[in-house]
Amino acid sequence: MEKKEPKHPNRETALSYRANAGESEEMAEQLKTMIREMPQIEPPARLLTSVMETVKTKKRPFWFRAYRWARSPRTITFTPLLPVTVMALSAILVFSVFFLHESKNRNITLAESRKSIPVEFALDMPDARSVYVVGSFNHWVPQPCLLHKDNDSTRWLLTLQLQPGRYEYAFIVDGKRVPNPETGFNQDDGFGNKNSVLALGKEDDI
Amino acid sequence: MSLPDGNAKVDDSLLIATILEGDVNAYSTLVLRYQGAIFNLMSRMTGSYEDAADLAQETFISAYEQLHRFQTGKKFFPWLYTIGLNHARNFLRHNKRKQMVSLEDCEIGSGLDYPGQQEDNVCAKIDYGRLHAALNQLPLDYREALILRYHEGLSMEEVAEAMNLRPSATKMRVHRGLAKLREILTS
Repeated sequence: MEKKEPKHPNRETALSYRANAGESEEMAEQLKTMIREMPQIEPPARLLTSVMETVKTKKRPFWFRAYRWARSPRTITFTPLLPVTVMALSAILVFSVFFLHESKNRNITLAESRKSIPVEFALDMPDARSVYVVGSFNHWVPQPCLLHKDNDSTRWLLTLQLQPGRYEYAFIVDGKRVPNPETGFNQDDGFGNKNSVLALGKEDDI
Repeated sequence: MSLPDGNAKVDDSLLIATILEGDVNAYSTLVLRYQGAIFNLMSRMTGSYEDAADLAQETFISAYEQLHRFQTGKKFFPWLYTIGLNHARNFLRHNKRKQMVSLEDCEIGSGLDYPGQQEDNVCAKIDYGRLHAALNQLPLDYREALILRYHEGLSMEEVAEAMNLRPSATKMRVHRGLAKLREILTS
C-alpha cells in the first residue's frame, strides 16, 4: 500500500502549524484525533498472571454464595422404590406414635385409679349436738373431721377424699364413740370397741 | 453458563455472569481487554511504571471482589475506571507524589515506511510528547474526561458514570478540557 505524504512538509510541528494559522476549530478536531491515536504504554506481561493468581484465592461473600445456590435450578431424580419406602417409613412412624400414645393413656388410667375417691360419711341422728368421724385415715384424731347438719335435715354429713384402701373408722357423737349403725360390717379394735370397716377401690388396692 | 467458542468478542455482561457463576478463568478475558486502559491511567496518575503496575493489579483484584455488586445492564468499563480512579486518588493522597510522565514512554512505533518519514516521525513524536505534557498539566478531571471521551471512545453518559459526574458537568469538563489543552499548546 502506498503511504500518504504528510500534509505539513515544513519542519514546524503539526500543532504549532495549526495554532499559527489560527484555525482553532480545526485544531480542536486535530487534538481529538491525536488524543484518539495517542500511543499507549504496554502493560507489564506479568499483570494478567498476578491478577489471576490472586483472584483464584478469593471467595465471594457467604450471603452471595447462598443466594446463588438458592437460585440455581436443581434436578431431582428418584426410583419408584423411593416413594414406597418413604410411605412405609411414614406409616411405621405414625403407628409408633399412635401406640406410644395409647400405652401412655393406659398408664394414666392406672395412675388415675390411685387418685382420691370421694367418700360421704353420713349419720342419721337428729338429736346429736356434734358428730365427728375418726379412723385410720386421720389417725383417729377428730379434728377437723366434723360432720355438718342442715337445720331442715336429720342427717349429719361429711365428704372426705380418701385413697383406695381398707379403713376402720367410728363416729364420735356428743363425745361417745359409736360405729356406723348403717353398715353391718364392724370389727373389734381389741379394746372393747367396735369400728366400722370401709373398703375403697379394687381388690388389689385393699 | 458457557462462553461462545472461538475468538468472537464476548460481551462483558456475559463474561461477568459467567464469572459470578463460578468460572474464575473468564475474568482473564476482562483483564486482557482493559489492562491497557487501566495501566495507562495509573501511569498518568503516578508517573511510575512499577506503581502503575501495582495499582492496576489492585484495581482488577478490587473489581473482582466487588463484581457481585455490579449492576446488570450497566457498562463494565466505566465501573472499572471508577474503581481505578479511586485507587489512584488514594495512592496519591498517601504518597503525595507529583505526576510525571517521561517523553520516552510515548514511543509511537519504529521503522520507516516512506522516504523522509524519519523527519515526520520526529515531528509526530514532538507533537505527541507536547500533547502528553499538556495533558499532564490539566486538572485530573479534565484530563481523564478527555481521555475517556476521545481515547477510550466512551459516550458522554459513560464518561459521566466513570467520573461520578452529571452529564452536563461532564460535557463542560470535556469542552473546557479541550480549550485548556489548546491554550497550553499554543502559549
